Amino acid sequence: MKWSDAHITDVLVIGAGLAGERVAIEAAQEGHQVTILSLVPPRRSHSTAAQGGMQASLGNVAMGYGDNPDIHFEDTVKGSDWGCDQEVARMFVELAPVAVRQMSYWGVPWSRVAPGKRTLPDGVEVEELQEKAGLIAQRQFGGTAKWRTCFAADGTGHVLQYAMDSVVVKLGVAVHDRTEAISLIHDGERCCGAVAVSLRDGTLRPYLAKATVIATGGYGRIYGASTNAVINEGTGMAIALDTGAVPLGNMEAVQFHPTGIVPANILVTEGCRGDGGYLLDKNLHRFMPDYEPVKKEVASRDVVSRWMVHHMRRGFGVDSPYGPHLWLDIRHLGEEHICTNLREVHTICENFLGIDCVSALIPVRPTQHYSMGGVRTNKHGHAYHLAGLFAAGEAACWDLHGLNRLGGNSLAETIVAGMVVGERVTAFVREHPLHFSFSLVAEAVRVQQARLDDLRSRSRGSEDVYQLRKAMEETLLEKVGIFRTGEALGEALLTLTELYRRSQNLRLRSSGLGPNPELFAALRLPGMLRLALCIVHGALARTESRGSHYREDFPHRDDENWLKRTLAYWPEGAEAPRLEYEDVKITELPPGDRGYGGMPISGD
Amino acid sequence: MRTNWISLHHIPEGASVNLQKTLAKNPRWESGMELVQLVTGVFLLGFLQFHVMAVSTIILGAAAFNKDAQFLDEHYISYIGIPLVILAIFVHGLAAMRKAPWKFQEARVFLQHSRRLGHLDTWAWLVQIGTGMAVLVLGVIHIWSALLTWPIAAATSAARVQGGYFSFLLALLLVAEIHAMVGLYRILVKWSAYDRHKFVLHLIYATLFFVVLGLLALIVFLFINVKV
Amino acid sequence: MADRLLTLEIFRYNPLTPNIPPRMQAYQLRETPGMSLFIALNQLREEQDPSLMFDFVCRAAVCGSCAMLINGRPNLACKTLTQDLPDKITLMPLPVFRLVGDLSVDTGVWFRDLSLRTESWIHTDKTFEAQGLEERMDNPTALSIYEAERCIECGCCIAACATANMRADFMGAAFLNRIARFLIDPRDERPAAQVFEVVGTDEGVFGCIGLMACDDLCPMEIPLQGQLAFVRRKMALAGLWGK
Ligand SMILES: Cc1cc2nc3c(=O)[nH]c(=O)nc-3n(C[C@H](O)[C@H](O)[C@H](O)COP(=O)(O)OP(=O)(O)OC[C@H]3O[C@@H](n4cnc5c(N)ncnc54)[C@H](O)[C@@H]3O)c2cc1C
Ligand code: HEM
Ligand code: HEM
Ligand code: SF4
Ligand code: F3S
Ligand code: FES
Repeated sequence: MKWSDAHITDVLVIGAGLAGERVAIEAAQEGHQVTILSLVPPRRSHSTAAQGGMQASLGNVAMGYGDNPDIHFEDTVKGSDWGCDQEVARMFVELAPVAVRQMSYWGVPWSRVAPGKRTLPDGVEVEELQEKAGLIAQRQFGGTAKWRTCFAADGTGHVLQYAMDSVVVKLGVAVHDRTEAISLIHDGERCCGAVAVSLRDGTLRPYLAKATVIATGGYGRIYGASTNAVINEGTGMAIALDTGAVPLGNMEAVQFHPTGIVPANILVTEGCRGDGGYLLDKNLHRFMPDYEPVKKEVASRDVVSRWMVHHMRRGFGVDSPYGPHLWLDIRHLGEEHICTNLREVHTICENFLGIDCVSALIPVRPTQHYSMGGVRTNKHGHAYHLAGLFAAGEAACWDLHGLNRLGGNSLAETIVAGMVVGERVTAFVREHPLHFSFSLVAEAVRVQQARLDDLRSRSRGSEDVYQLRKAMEETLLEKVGIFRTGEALGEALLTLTELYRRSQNLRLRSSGLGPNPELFAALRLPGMLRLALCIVHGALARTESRGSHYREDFPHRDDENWLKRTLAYWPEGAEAPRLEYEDVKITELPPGDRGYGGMPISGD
Repeated sequence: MRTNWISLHHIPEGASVNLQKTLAKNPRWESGMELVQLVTGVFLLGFLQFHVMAVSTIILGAAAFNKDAQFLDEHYISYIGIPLVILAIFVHGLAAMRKAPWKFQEARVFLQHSRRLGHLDTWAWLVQIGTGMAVLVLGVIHIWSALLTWPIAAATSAARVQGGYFSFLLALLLVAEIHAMVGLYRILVKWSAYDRHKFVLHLIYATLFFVVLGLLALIVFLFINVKV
Repeated sequence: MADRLLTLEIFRYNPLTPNIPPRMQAYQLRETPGMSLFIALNQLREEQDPSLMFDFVCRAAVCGSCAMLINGRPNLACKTLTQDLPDKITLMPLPVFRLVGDLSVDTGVWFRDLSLRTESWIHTDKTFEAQGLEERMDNPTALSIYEAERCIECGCCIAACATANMRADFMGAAFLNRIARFLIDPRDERPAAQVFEVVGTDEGVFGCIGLMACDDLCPMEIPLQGQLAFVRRKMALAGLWGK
């Protein structure tokens, strides 16, 4: 490597989503030099895709009067099925209102309260008070006692990310987009940066920093069918795991959403069912009443998802070139209702299915949506066992969501975590000088360069990256989905271990020169498989059902044995993670009944 | 030296600065040119439509036409108006043509782009430039010939039209009207939020009206029999 | 409809191998129901040519990554269904932006550069009070800011604009629209005269000659005609009266 290629900075933030940029701002405001790495320009990060909103207990709207952090706290803990860290949850609910208001100060055009009386769809009449006029408006979300979700029309994540990035631009923070961190530079005790590959030309470059922050979002894409962006491949978690020192927390906690459209896997809102839509099978039979006579289609997310998968497994799925699916039927709601109240669904169907859902059925199936697990950190965002390494956002597990995330809590988490972790990073950078050993850096780069050269020389085995990847996606989807059994997980474990072995023998079909997509896919695949293995091992070991983790063979929550967080370590050269456990911190609210969902578990 | 030295602090941090651009840059001139183009364009548009209507009084007969011409002459409107129009044409031409693809490569980029895109409004700009140039050439010839036989009278005009100017004037009528109406469309599009898919129809009707009116006038000129 | 054999003619160029000149390469593909260009291109890459470069991120028409020339016109590839296209489809990268390779262009650096040039962030002398209430705003104002803010920086309006194609330093509709957003935002305290210095120029709003391809081809259907006209009026006034 050429030392002139090395990039030295105070803070290295890997990931330019909401979490990463918020950390960067905190440090840059204190005068530290910050560099952000991102696969894509910051404004294309997946945070922009969030439409629903961001929770903060402002209590500005009629249905939210009287809201306060205590109620938000309670909702969050129940949502997590008591799996979350209550200290973190407490800190989070107190800071969320500040975060929302600061985003307003930075330019987010939050929708605002318009005073006056109005009638809600279910006939209830409410009055917005004059004294609240012009304050930030809030809407209803699942699993919350009050209307608490702040929103900006139908594009909350988008405007948040744009406002955040405008501050990053203003502060002159360097952003190296189309740059992917592929390994962390560390000596087992201290992290001093990362080796990154340029997605513009395929060259390597070491980034050296006093503090390194992982804010790389979720890993949805290892499931293939996911509502996530195609860049959400979990590479940030994978490189943390690769250190051998840092564990990933609760990787078995994977959230699914019942209605992703097929084949595009884009989310259509729960409102379809809430407003009276049906789910039909291949015989156009409405099957949900057979399973859930009372709640039918509007049972909680995880319950509906479970029945849908169950029904398809029994052979009632509609066959398509993209695998089996079910139908969502909203035709009977009428054109007027669809084109006003469900306009977005109408546009999505038009754009991505080329159908008019006023007269056509919508193909849907449960789809991977969110990863509760991630790089395990303490409540300040400092990763376990590696000084100078931090994590924030969906990539982290600090652990706000436990085994299930509440809708609207994730956007709020990214920003609050950015504030909290950013402050810690700043303090760390102030106290610690830049410190690295030349040979350590050179060795780290050499190892990665060898990987690249090896792949490019095409002298390796015979395995095709896309085929292995597809096999991994299918295995996870079929065997580590919504429904889990010891048997299926065991099979998945065998398959994935085999795939992991085979992934050591990838051979490129193309030259691998320049910004070569096949090369980059080949670099990512082994890490993705390691994440998959962490999920499977964690799920197999957790012999209870909690939050989104549902074991058919252990359908009940088991507080006695499993009020625990899974920690997965990956020892060097191993073929499986080493699992450890730690107790979940309960400070305020002891485990109890969630108060919703007919089955032992329910989603948000 | 303009006062824009002060504006140096508006150059954002990190933006590149170089001497010649910093000194030569003057937004006040650049916005001024746009307004000159707008004002002269609107003025010429008004003139053209008034002019076509005035000439069209020939349909009512030579007497009406002559009366008009005389009226303008007697009230010195011609003596102010004609130089003003000539001036406006040159100023407008200069202002409006400043954005034309003068460089060969720009012209190629523009043509290739337009062909690929297949987008009517983009082509319309080319029409605007083409008709503008045509108006310049034809207009100058036309004004020259009209002034040669000063004063304006039905007889001289008829003689000219019958003497082979018919097709020349028809061409001028067409390019001038198209240029003016596309110009008006562009003004509305550039300065207002009115739905252009709606008002474009009105503009087409108006253009047809003036073209038909002018054509009738020309036909009358062609067949009218006025003694000199 | 389905089951057609599609021919995709794709622009190929890798700047790192400049000795291989830019060319169009044809691929054939069996169409499946509901197939989008996202699916088609990925299938090509996985099954026929793993070196094919293109960008997708959200594949749900919200991130702006995947704009390209589809049969000559800029649009988001992820929301373009093959069933709406003829048997023969040509795909080219967006013009104006620097080419990364094949269908992939560097929009990020271009947009960040202009963000800097136009200082696209809220300018205010107020400080943030963590404990106070948020500053009030009426909802119609919030919505009109949102209307402009919906831009996803896909670059379609830039690629569609002949002016931007001819003149490298032209801001383009996306940025003029962004300026409109700051001009209506009461939180931004910049006087119009300050904006004028950067935007009231031939690189700014007066470089726009009203071709309206931006307005016609913006995939987010942002009313660019009105937004640009608003900025033009504001800047003309600022130029005249210096305010
Ligand atoms: C369709 C959808 C709708 C949602 N709606 C809501 C909602 O309404 N409310 C809510 O609260 N939550 C919602 N969520 C969840 C929420 O949007 C995300 O959890 C959150 O935005 C994640 O933010 P982040 O900053 O952690 O990561 P991201 O925004 O995903 O950013 C990750 C960043 O890391 C970069 N990166 C990744 N790997 C690397 C690497 N190896 N090297 C360098 N850079 C890398 C990427 O380029 C990117 O910039 C939704 C999620 C989805 C999928
Ligand atoms: C009677 C004569 C003319 C009339 C009525 C007329 C009218 C107009 C009008 C109304 C516009 C729109 C102005 C704007 O967009 O601000 C315009 C634009 C234009 N005119 Fe003319 N014009 C005349 C003569 C000319 C001549 C002689 C030329 C060329 C030498 C010319 C070249 C142009 C060009 C190139 C534009 C387009 C400018 C742009 O959109 O950037 N015009 N004209
Ligand atoms: C300013 C000096 C001008 C004078 C004195 C003038 C005079 C005349 C006269 C006398 C006629 C009658 C026909 C003839 O005699 O040839 C005429 C016709 C015409 N002029 Fe002009 N003209 C002037 C400028 C212009 C300009 C600038 C344009 C267009 C750009 C124009 C467009 C026409 C047209 C289209 C006709 C034919 C009218 C019809 O068909 O009814 N003229 N003009
Ligand atoms: S204005 Fe429209 S076309 Fe232009 S970048 Fe924004 S979204 Fe894309
Ligand atoms: S296409 Fe270009 S010229 Fe103006 S109206 Fe749109 S920016
Ligand atoms: S991939 Fe995001 S807009 Fe197409």
